[in-house]
Amino acid sequence: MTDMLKEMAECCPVSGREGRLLRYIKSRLEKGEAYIDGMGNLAVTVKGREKHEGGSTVFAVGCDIPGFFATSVSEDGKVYFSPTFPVEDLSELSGRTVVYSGKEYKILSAAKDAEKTRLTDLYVDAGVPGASEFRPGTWFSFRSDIKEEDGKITGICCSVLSLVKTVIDAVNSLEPEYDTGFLFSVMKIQGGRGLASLGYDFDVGRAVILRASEIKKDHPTVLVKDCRLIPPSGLVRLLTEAAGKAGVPYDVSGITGRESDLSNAVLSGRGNSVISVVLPASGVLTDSESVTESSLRELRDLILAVSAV
Amino acid sequence: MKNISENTGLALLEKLCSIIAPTGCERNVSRFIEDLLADIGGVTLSRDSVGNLYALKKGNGKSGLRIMVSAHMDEVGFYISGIEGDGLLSFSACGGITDSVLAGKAVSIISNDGETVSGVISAKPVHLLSAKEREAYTPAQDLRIDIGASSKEDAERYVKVGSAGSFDSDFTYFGEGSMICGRAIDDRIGCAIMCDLIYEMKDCEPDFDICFAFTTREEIGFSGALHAAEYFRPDLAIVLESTAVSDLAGVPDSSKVAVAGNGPTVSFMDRGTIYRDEIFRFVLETAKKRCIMMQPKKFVSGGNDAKYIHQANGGTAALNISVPTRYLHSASCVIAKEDFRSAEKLVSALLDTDPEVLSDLITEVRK
Repeated sequence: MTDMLKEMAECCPVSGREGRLLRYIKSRLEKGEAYIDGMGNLAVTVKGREKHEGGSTVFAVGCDIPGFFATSVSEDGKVYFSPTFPVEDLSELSGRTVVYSGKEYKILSAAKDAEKTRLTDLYVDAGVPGASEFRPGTWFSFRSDIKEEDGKITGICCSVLSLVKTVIDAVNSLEPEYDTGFLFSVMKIQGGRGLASLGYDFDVGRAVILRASEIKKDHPTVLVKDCRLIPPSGLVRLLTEAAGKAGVPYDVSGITGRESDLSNAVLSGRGNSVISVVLPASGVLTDSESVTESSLRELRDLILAVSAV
Repeated sequence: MKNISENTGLALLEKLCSIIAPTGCERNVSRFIEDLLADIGGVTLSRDSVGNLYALKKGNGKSGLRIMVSAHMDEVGFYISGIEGDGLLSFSACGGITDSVLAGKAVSIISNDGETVSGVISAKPVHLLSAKEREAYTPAQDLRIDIGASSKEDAERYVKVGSAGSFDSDFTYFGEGSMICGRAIDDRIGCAIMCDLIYEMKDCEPDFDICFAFTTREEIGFSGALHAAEYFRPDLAIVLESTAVSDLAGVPDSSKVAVAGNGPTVSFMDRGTIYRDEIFRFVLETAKKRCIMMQPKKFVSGGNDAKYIHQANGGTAALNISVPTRYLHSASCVIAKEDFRSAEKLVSALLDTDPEVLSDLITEVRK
C-alpha cells in the first residue's frame, strides 16, 4: 500500500502539474478506456454490459497535492516561491522540508517578527549561487514520509494519494452493469478547475465527487450540503440506499466552507447532477496527516455498490 | 481611415487609449476597431450577443489548427450612482480601483448625448484636513465628481444615474521617449497589438485559422472571453494583457512581478490559471530562438481572461503574454515602448510557428 503511495508522491503532482502522476495511474489501471482530456484530467470509462439511458455514473477524484512554484531565484541562491494552496499563517511554512528532484530543502524565513511573515520573507536556500536547477515555474512539494501502522496511514498528503489509490482499486475490481466513468482530475485545490471538463468527457447521469477532508466521522460521509452545492435529494437517497443494501458503513453530514467548490462540476457541459462523498482524514497538511485503512476499504465498497445501481 | 500609418503601432495605441470604455461600454472601442479593420481588410468581422468583436483570418487549409488571440476592450472606471442637490455626483467603482488613486483626478463621463463631459474627483485640500483625515485615503463613497454643475437639474442636463466614466489623462512620452504614460493601457495595448498583427497579415494567408477576439467584461471578472472560446473553439488561445509590475522603490526583488523595459511577461501561474508547463516553456524557447526580449512573470498575482478560456469546451490550452505596466488601474499607467514592440514580435513569432510544431505541442499537452 505505502509503496504505491510513495511512488505517487514522487510524481510531485502539485496543482497544474499532475501529468506524471496521471501517467502513473494510467499504467496501474487494469481495465477501462483512458485518455487525457483538454483540462489535463485522466478520463476513464469502464464499459458495462450496456449503456444506461439516464447517463453514466461518474466518480471524480482530485489528484493534486499542495505544493509550490518557484517565482524567482536570487543571485545568492535563494529560491522564492508561491504556494498553490491557501495558507492562513505563512509563518507555519518556515522550517518545513520540501523536496525537489529528489533533494530535500528547508523553507527559511527572513521575517523578524513571525506574526508578520509575508510571502516575500520566505525562501528555499538552494545553497548554490544562481541555483541553476530552479527557474521561475519550477514546482516542488512537501517531503512526504508515508507510513502504515495500526490500521492507519500517516504522512503529509497521504489522504489525497490513498484516495486516488482506492479509486484505482475500485476501477480494477469493477464489473459494472452499465458504463461507469472515473475522472482523475487536476487542480482540485484551485477551486476544482479540472472538473470543468466533466460534462464533456462523459454522458453524465450522476457524478460523485470523492475527496478527503478533515471531518469528525468514522466512515465515508455523504454530504447533503457542501460549499455552493446542495445535491438533488434523489442522489442522496441513491447513494445511501446503495450503501445500505451492500452493508457498507457510511455517515451523512452537511458541511459548508470554502474547501470545495463544485460549481465547475455542476455547470460543465449541459449541467450535471452532483454529490460529494468525503473520506474522513485528520491532521491534513501536517506530518501527522492520517486516514484509516478501514474507511478506505469502505469507500472502495461504496464506489462498487453505487456503480452497481 | 485614410492614412493607415496613423492607425498602427503607437499612434493606434494612443487613439485606442483615448476612448472612454469602462466595462459595459465597450461598444465605443469595438466601433473604432471595426471601422479600422474594415479598412484594412483580409478578415471577416462579426459580433456576438455579449459584445465581443471577432476578426477571423482564414487559413490556407494547410492545417486544421484553430488559434485564438484575445484582448479585452473594457477598462476600469466607475458608474454614477447619485446626483446631489448641489450638482456633485456620487459614484461606484467598476473594476479594481483603490481609493488611493482617486482624489483629485480628472475624469471623463459619457454624457447623455453620447459625447463626453469632463469632471474632477473632488478632494479636500490638505489645508482643510484634520490630522486624522491626513492619515488615510478618503474612501470612494465619500468622494464626489465635480462636473461644474450648479444644481442637480443642471447636472442632469449632461449625465444621469447610470452614466459611466473613467480617468481622463493624456498619452505622453517621457524618459527620453522610451516610456509611455497613459490611461486605459490595460488592455488597449492588447487590442493595438492584435490590430497591428491583422495589418501585418493583410496580404498573406496563414497556415491555420486565426480568430482575433476583442472581448468584453474582463475588469469585473465576468468574462466575454468565455463566450469567445465557446464560439471559436480554439486549439490554443493566446491571451494578451497588461500586467501590474512593482519595479518600484522599497519593493524587494522577490516581489517584483516584472521589470518594465525587460520585455513582455509570460506566466506559469496567476490567480486564475496554472498554465501548462509545456506551453510556458515553448514560449520561452520561441522568444530565445527569435532573440525577442521577454521575462517570466516572477510573482503569482492577478488574473485574466485565460481563467475562463482554459476551462471552456472541456479544456482549452492557453498562454498569457502581458506588457509590464506600472501603476495599473490608475490614471497614469506606464509602459516601456520597447515592451510593446517585443510583445508584438513574440505573438507574431508564435503565429508564424510551423503548424506541425504547434500540433505536436498541443498533442504533447494531452499525453
